[in-house]
Amino acid sequence: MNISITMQQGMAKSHASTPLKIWAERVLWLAWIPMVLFTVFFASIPDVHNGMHPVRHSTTIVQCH
Amino acid sequence: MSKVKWLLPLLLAGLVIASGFVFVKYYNAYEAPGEHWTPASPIAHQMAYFSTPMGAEGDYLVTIEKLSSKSPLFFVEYQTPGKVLEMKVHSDDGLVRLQQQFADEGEYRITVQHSIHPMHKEVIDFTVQTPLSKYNNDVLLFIFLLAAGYLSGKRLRGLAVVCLMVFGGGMASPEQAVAHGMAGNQQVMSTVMQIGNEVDDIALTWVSGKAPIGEANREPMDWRMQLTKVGSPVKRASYDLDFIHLESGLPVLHIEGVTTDHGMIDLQYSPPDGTEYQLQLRANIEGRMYHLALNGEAEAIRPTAGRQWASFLLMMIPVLLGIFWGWKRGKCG
Repeated sequence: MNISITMQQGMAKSHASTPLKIWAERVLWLAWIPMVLFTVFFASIPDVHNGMHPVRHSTTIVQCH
Repeated sequence: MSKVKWLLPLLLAGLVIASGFVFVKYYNAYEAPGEHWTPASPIAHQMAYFSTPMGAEGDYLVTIEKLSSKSPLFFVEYQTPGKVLEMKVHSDDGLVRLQQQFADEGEYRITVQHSIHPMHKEVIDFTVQTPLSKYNNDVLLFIFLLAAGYLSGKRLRGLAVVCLMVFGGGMASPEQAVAHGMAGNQQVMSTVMQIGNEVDDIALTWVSGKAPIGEANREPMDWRMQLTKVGSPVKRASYDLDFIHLESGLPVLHIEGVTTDHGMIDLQYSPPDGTEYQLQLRANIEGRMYHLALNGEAEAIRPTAGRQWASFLLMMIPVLLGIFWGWKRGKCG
């Protein structure tokens, strides 16, 4: 618990002082949609493919097989 | 002004009725039987029924070819233009019938030609349509992408997560595409039981000696089979052939025919999906019904990098529009 509070304080501090974190957040906000699109529609990992198969077939623009 | 307000409900009622008439035409193409096909314009991934009166009993050579695909930017072209099916269909009553499931939308042509009198033929052009659910999903996808972009632009963390969940839920709605696993990489789970290719002294074999090899939705593959009795061909035996998609257990093609003088069942066919198939034959030989089957497989075609980039960039348009819009509206979180 003590560690957690310490960490929270540390995070709050870095949030206030480090522009790097703000930049990281911006990058994440820009990246999360392409990441979701890639996972849902294009990733060729067999398990992901099998799980997402009907979704890939559900639109006219995504090629499955 | 008040007069206009009073008229507004009536105008709206008129508008709804008028749009109904417009949509009736549209829905009819999906639902109503046409002169040759039922529905009038077959829907991709669904069984379509064909019949045409040829006016004479006999064997007919039936050819289906794809003339063109829909706009390549918005519609994935699974089946490339060219021949899809070539086979002989037998008719006792002068009507040539066929059941076929198309892999994708586009302009197609079916030619029915008498095997002895080649001048006795019919050429019918028709359109295969996109299932309505795909259009719905396209629209939903673009709305969600726009919304996700907008919320990202505004950096509203909580709402963006909700949006992701809605997006996931909305897109996971069931649809009618031929759904399957990774064909070729793993064993197909199927409830279809094995049917042998030999019963007593009747045997069904591949003419080429082995199951055809090839990709789905490309050049027609050689599915020719021969029916033999103790090694000699079974001539003029009438049969029903079902081309069964093993993962769904449903037929993608149904044909009624008669074997040739060499006991052959002529079939050149480009199946609509890369997976395993079972060709189930019910043949009437000397008054007895024989159930025979052969198994085959079509290779799955892989998405091309060009197609994937095109799809991805198309999806990124509403995202970027949304981000720009949200960013202009300013940060709220």
